Amino acid sequence: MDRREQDVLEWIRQETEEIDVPQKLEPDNIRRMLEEKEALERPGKKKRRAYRIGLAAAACVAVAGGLAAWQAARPDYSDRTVGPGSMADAGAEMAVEISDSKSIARADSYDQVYGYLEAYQKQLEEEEKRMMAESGGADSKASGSARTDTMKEEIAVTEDSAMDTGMNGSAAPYEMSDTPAAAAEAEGSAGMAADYSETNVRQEGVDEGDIVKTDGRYLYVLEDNGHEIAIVDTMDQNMKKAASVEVGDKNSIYEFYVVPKQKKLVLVGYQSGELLGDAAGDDVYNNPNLSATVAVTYDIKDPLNPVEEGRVSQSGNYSSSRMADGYLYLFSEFYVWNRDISPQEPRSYVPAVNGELIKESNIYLPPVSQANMYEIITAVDLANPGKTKDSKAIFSKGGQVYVSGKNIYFYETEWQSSFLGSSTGCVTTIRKVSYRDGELTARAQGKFDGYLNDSFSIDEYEGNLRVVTTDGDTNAVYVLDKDLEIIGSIEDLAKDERVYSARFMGEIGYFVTFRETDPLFSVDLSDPKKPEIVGELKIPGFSEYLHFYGENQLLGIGMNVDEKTMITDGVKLTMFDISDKTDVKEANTCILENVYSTEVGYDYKAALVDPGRNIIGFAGYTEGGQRYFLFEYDKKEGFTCNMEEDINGNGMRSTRGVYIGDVIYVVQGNIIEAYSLKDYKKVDDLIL
Amino acid sequence: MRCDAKTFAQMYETVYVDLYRFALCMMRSRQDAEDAVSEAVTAAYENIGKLREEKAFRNWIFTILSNTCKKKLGSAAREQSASADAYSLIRTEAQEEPDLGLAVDVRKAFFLLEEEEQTIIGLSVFGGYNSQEIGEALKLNPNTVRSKRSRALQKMECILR
Repeated sequence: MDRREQDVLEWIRQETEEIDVPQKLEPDNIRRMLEEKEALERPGKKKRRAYRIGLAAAACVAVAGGLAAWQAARPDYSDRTVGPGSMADAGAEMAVEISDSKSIARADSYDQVYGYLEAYQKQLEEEEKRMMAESGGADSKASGSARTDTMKEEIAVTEDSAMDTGMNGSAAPYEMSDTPAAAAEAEGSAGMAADYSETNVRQEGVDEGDIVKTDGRYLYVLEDNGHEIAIVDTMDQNMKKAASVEVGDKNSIYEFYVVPKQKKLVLVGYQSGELLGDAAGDDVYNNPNLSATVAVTYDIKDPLNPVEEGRVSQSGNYSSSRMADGYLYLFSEFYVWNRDISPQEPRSYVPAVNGELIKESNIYLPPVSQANMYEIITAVDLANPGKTKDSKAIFSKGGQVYVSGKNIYFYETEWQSSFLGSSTGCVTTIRKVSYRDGELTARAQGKFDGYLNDSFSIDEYEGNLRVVTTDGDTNAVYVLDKDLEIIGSIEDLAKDERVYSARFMGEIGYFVTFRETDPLFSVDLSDPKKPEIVGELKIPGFSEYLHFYGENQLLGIGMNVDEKTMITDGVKLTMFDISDKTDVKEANTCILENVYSTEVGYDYKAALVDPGRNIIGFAGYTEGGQRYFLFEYDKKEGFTCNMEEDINGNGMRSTRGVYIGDVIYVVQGNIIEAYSLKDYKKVDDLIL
Repeated sequence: MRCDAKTFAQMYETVYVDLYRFALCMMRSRQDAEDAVSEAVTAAYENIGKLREEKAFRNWIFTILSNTCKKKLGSAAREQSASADAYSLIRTEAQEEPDLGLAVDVRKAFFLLEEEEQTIIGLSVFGGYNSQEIGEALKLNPNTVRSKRSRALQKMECILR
C-alpha cells in the first residue's frame, strides 16, 4: 500500500475511534445471551435435537456464508484425501485447471467471452453451496496454528510493507510501478543523464510515468489535488510557477511523461463520464463502464503555453504505462462487476477504447476457463496522439505487468490452495505480448509454480525469461525460453523463507530471502538450461530494493532486524561487493536507527540512485516526521550522509528527489524545497 | 475447540469493538450493525467446535461477520427499490436518522463503495488484515484485493478532501 492509501485507512481508523458499542454487545451481555440460548436447548435431548434442526436452518444463512468463506480459504487437503466420498471430490474440484496450450487464444465472439464470466460466477456460487453442505460436518482443521505462524512472521518484518512490498505497483494507480528497473540499465540511464535526473525505471529505454519530472530547466510537478500539473521554472535557482496544465475538478491525473526530444507532455489520468458518451451524471464510480482512463498529449515547445494535441480513452482504472520509441503504452484494468451484465448487451461486459468495443479477436482468452476482468493495453503514437494505434484486452482474473525492452508480460497467480504454509501452493500463468512501433502481438503463454514477489523477480535477457518464485515455504528459479517453456530450474531453495527482493544483471541474478537473516543468493544464469546458485551471504535484516551501483557493487535498501526480538529497528543501507559472484561480501552498511521506514521498499520511483554522480537519495519516516536523506558512497569511507532535512510538504503521494545541475529539488505535496548539492544548504523553496 | 459461554465471551472481548465498528461501516444503521454482530456471534458460538485454535478466533469471527453483513445487505437491497442510488440514500438517511453512530463523512465514503470493496476496506481497517489474508477470507486473488482496495481508497479519498 502506498502512503496515500495508508492515510485513508488511518483516517477511517481515527474517525471511528470514538464509536461506542451498544450495551447489548458488551461481553457480559453476550455471555448472558449465549447462556440463555443454551438453557433453552438444554431441557431434554429430544427437544434439543428438534430445536437444533430449526436453528441450523436459521443459522445457515449466516453460518453458510461465514464458514463457507473460511473453509474455502483454508482447504484441508489431508482431510479431504483421507475422507472418501463427496468431500474428496469437492477437494479435487478446487484446483483450477490450467491449459497446457503454448499459444494465447483469441476470442471468437463476445458470447464466448461471456461464457468465461459466467463460469467465474458459477464457480463462486458452487463453492458457496458446497461449503454450505460441508459446514455441517467438515472440520476446518489446522487453519489456526499454521496461520498464526505465518502471521507472526509477518509481524516481525512489519506487516503491510513486507507483505505488499513491490506488489503494490500494479494495484496502486499512483505508482503503477510494478516494473522495476534492471539495475544495470537504470544505472545507465541515470548515470549518463545529461545534467538532470530521470525517473528510476525498470528497463533502460522504457520510460515510466511519474509525479515529478524535469527536462533540465523546468520542473513538472503533479499538485496534491491531482487536478493540475505545475510547470516550474528553476532558472537562476529561483523557482517560479510559470504555467500549468489543468484537467478540471471532476477528473484527475495519476502520472505523466515529459518527452524533451519531442517536446511533449503526456498525462495519464481518470476522466469522468462524458468521454464514453453515455449519460454519466455523478454516478461514474458506480458504473464501471463510465470510468475511463485517458491519456492527453500536450505540445510543450513553449512550456509556458502547453497546447493540447489529442486524447484517447479506454475503459477501466489506470494500471500502468510505458513509453518507448515515441509510443505510449497504456494499461488499464476493467473489472466486470457481476450485476447487470447481459449476454445480449456486450457493452455491459466488454471494454471499450475511445468509445468503441474492443473486437473479439483482440481479446486474449485466459489459460483457465474463467475470468472477471480485462487488462487493456493500448498503444498511442505521440505523433498522432488523438488516435489509438492498437489495442488488446487480456482477459483474466487480475494480474500484473512486467515490460521488457521488447515484450509485455502479463502474469497472474492461480491460488490453488490457501497461504497456509502448506506446499500445495500456487501456479503463475504468464502471457507474452510483443510491442513494436505501437503494434501489439500475442506471442506465447506459459506457467510455473509459485508466485512472484514483484516485477524485479522477473526479467528478460536474450529472449529468455528468468523468474525467482516463492511457493508455499520454498523458493525457486526458473528459466523460460522465448516460447515460455521452462528450460532450466533450481527448486527447493531457502526453505521456510520467501523472496524479498531480486535483481538480474545479464547472466547473474541476485535475490534476497528472509526469515531471520538476510541471505543474498547469487545465481549464475550463463547457461539458461542450468542455472546454479553460486553464492550465499547471510546478514541480518533484509533488503527490499536492490540497485546496481557502479562496477561490482550492489546497493540494498531495506530494514535492519534485531536478531533477538525480530523487530525491525531501522532502515539499513548495504553495499554488497559482487566482484566475485561465488563470494558476495557485505562491503559496508549503514543503519539509520531513527528511521523506521522508507518509501523505496514499495515504490522504486521514490529512489534517486545515481552511481555516476554518487548520489543515493530517498525519503524516510522518523519520529519527527518525514526527512529526505542524501548519501554518497566510498569503498573506504562507506556511506556518508550528506544531507538529512525535514520535508515540509505533506501531500498524499510519496516524496521525490530530482536534481538539475547542482541543485536537488525535494518535492512533497505542494511544497518544493531546493538544496545545493555542493554544500547541501537550502537555496530556495516554493509553495504551489 | 471446546468452549463455554464464558470462554467465548473472553475471546469476544478482545475483538468486539472492532467487530461493531466494522458492522457499523457495512450496515445502514446502528440497529442493523448491532443485529449483525449479534447474529454473527450466535453463529460463531454454535460452530465454535470447528475452530481449532483460540488464536484464529479473530479471523474466524471476522469472516463470519463479514458474511453476515453481506447476507443482510443482500436481503435489504432486495427490499429497496432498485433505483435508489447510493447518493440519495445518504441524503435521506442523514435527514431521517440523525444518530448514525458514525461520522457522516466516513459513512458517505463507505457508500461510494461496492459491497465487496466495503468488506475489503472494513477488513483492512478493523480486522487489520493484509491483502493476502483478505484474499483468503473472501476467496479472491490477493492481487485483485490489492487493486480493489486501491480503487476503493481512491474513491474514499474524494470525500476526505
